[in-house]
Amino acid sequence: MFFSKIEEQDQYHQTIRNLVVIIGSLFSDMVLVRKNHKSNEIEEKILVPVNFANRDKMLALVREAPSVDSKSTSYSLPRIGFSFDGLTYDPQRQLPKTGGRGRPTKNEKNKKDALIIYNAVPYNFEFSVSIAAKYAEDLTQIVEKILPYFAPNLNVTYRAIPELELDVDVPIMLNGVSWNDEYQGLQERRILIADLSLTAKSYIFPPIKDFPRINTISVETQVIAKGTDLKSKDKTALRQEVGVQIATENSGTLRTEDSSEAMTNPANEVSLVKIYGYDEDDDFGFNTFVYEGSDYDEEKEREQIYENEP
Amino acid sequence: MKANKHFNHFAFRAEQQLVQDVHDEIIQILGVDCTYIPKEHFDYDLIMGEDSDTRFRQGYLIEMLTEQNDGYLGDSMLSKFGLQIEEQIVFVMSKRRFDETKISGRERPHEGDLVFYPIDGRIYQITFVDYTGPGFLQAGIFPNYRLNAELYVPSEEQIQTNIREIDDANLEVYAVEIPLKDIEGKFALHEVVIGEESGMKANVKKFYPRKKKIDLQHVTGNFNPSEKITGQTSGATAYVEHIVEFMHNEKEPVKRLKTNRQFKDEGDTLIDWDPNNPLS
Repeated sequence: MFFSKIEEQDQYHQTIRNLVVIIGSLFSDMVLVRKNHKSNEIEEKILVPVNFANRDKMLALVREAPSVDSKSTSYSLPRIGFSFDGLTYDPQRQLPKTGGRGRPTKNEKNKKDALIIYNAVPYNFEFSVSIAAKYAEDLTQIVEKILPYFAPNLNVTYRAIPELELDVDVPIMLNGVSWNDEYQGLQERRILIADLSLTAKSYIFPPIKDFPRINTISVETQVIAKGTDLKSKDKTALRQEVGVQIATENSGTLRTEDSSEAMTNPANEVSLVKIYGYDEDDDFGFNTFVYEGSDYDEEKEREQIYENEP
Repeated sequence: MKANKHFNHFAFRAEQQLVQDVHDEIIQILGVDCTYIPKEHFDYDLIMGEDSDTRFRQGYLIEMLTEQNDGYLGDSMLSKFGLQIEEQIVFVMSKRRFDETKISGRERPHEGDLVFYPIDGRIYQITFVDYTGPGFLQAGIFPNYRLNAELYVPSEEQIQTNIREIDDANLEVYAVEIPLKDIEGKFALHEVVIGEESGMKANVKKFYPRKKKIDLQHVTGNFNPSEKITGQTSGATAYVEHIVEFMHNEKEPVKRLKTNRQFKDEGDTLIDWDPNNPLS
């Protein structure tokens, strides 16, 4: 049944919000440099403001509309605005639904438990990024600074599920760039806008489940001896339906046995083996545990190896 | 049939002056003193047909009359880029008064020039100059300019008229606040300061001698820490105490850049930027 576990519903992974932050942070440090065409000297550097377009209208009005006291309109160019336009399921990236990932919980009280999450559902998130400028060269510069990073996609690794220290690679595809330059007409203001259509290939995650960790697996093993049926010369398992007559050679004597006896035949080993013992201090023979991506510093390790080399 | 030469409606000098006088008087009675700010070009690019280095450095006081009485033309909308106000206003300015003002480099008002309208305290940019009206060919002259203007959208142009109200109306233009030490002299408003080591230039937006800070506009890069900066007009000198990054500038008027900072800070906690990763 859907949503039957109330405690699981406390979870919300903020996937869409995180993607908005990612797209915004890609452009948050963009500096436009204006140079003099003749001397090629830098005239000024401008940090391009970026904002997420989908927002509360009333709040935007209250915050940005000019009043009697503050006459400034807070609207200047160039600037970047981006919007979230929707999401579609991507069947090609779907992994088996029963698969997933897990790791020991950090909760001290439930040290034996594991957190698991089933495979996430792949979705394509559509964003459109619009860059507005007053001058054509401002726009060409901003667009030309952005485009080389998308070839055709930009890979961003981000921490999707902090509880599981689960990092996800999100390729952000650039689908196309459209150019709006209203240079015609007499009395209208000319505003140049470049629209970049982006698709972020990410996932929507199911709730994290708290599972007791598997401590022991008991496996019943049975080796069934096979003997050559001396009459038919076939190799036959000694264990058969009860009462089936098979000829076996045992201890050097040829005799006919009922298959029911074969179960107790010493050649048939039946045992219960505890193959996976767990106790809290067990290190399973490993010196260190490296959990996926999280605390592992590849660079540091490389340096250490380099230093230890004679 | 020729026009009757005994009636002269279009070429009688005294009549023309009377018409101009009447128009001027109406504007002077009903209008207000606006500031006409001509646009100066410093780097016209023939290829792209534009100039991103435009400056507004002089203001001329001329009386103007607004044509509409019940609100601005045009409208505002909440666009992808925030609240976009496209309010328009129509000014009427006397042709004779414009000629008398002798604005350098202007035989007529130019599109792109700015008008500061003190009643609403806003700066408008002229989008179209209609020289034909009002008063179309009365006594054979065009007595007025009709200036179609739209609320000015700044794009880091330099507005330095030394008229405080006008320069402050452009508050949203980005300024970097730099703490100073060992200040000698007083930096002048809008003068150019140059860093001794880095050679970086910027314009002084505001100087706070007591707080030991300076607001700089139109910066061409970052100054070095402990670098000596010199004001080119005032000769004042000071040393940069420490560098405040573009992003971490807490200057209050730059509200819109707070969003950038929020995106950057949240993004840093989420994203694993690995400089060695060839794919990212």
